[in-house]
Amino acid sequence: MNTKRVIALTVLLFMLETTIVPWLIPESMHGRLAPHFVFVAALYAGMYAGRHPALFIGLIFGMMQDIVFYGHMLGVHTLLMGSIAYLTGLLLEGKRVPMLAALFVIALCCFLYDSAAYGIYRVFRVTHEPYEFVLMQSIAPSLFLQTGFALAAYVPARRLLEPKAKKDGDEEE
Amino acid sequence: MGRVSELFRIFRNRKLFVLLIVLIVFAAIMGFSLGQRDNLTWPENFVGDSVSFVQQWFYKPAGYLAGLFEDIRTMRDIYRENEELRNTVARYARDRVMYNRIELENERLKEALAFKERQKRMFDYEYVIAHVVAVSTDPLNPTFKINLGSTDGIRPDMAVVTTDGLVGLVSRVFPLYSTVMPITQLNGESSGARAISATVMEHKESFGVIEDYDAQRGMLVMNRIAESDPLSVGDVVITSGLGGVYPYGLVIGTVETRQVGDFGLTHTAYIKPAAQFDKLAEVFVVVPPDLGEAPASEEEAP
Repeated sequence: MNTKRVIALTVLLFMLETTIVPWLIPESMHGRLAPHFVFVAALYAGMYAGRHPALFIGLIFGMMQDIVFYGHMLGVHTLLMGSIAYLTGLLLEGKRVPMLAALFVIALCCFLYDSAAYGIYRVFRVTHEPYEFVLMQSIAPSLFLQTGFALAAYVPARRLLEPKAKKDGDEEE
Repeated sequence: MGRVSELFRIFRNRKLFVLLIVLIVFAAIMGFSLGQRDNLTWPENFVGDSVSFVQQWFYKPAGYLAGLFEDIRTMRDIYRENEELRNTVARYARDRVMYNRIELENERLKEALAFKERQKRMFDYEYVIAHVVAVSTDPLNPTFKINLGSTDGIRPDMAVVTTDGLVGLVSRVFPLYSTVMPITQLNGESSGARAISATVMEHKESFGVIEDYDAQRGMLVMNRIAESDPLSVGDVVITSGLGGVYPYGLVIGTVETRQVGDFGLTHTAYIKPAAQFDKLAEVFVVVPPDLGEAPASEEEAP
């Protein structure tokens, strides 16, 4: 794993999802499609590089998201991105994760992430929409966006993150 | 000592212990950062400003590119639009003459009535142009970042408008950039609830308070309208300027429905926002005049 390159690419992803992607989302999906590409990168790091890089990426970029777009409160994304990425690493580190399993895990984690964020905002009374509405309005469409991105990024992410020695063994992608 | 070691045996799994501590720390951070904060700490300022500095290199070119494609697609509408604009300009030129006359007369009358300097400057709101540099990806925290900060005199809760109407309120202010919370996040139940007092263009005596947004209907909720109020469907809702924070006359939206409110004593109206909330490139921050004393800090409901 080339640490410098991974960090540079993740910074680029963060810039992309906050500046260019909003211009590409059609008007009818405004406020519904939420790109979490950095979170997907953190999950890939958890699966293929280990739980500590995942925790690192999750915490740093979660904090960036929190502070740069500080609206209601701080800490939601830092906590959720850090903990979910770490948990993924803890459970799947060192195991062989084929593509479909990886996509399934990412979809599950994105669902967990968005739902937990909604839960925190609801507890602090920042939002008062019912969960069913938010689920259909933004969580479900975003899930597809994230899975699509994960599919597109699977090969480069795995090539970049996986340790060199192990790679000779499984070249099944 | 025995007690303590027993306590530690429960947390023999060190990870569980760490997890608990982390949860407590984050709950504290969230609670602490939730309310109104006029000044941020230096780590927040540093991270916020330096990241936004890089983001502005991406957002604007992307906007230009998107705009280019938009232009090609809407080429056919341009002729019609041009025709309409020509009519508007003709009307504007006519109104301009009228406006100049009325303004002169207004000045003269103010002199005659011996208005104090402070009263004269009360409505000298300044519209400062700001460029959007980035948009949040969180649908429940959909802030956007503008390139004006506390060094440019921006304070929390200032109104942000586009040419269409009111877009949002300044939420947090960094030295060089600030975050803007769209008015679609107005929420009467939250701890730091903001409320905008409003009236309608057609009837000056109308009054209501906008403090909520119904995401399911996509409309703002205007409460506390008196039963005898002349407000009706189709009216253009504007800020009333009564609190001194938001100037008089910012367009908020149009009335869609009006019905009896929750308690039956007052009426509630649903308002379709006039402004667009996505693909923003330029916005205006409304800076109230500095009158030497702090104006009423928040527009409270009566």
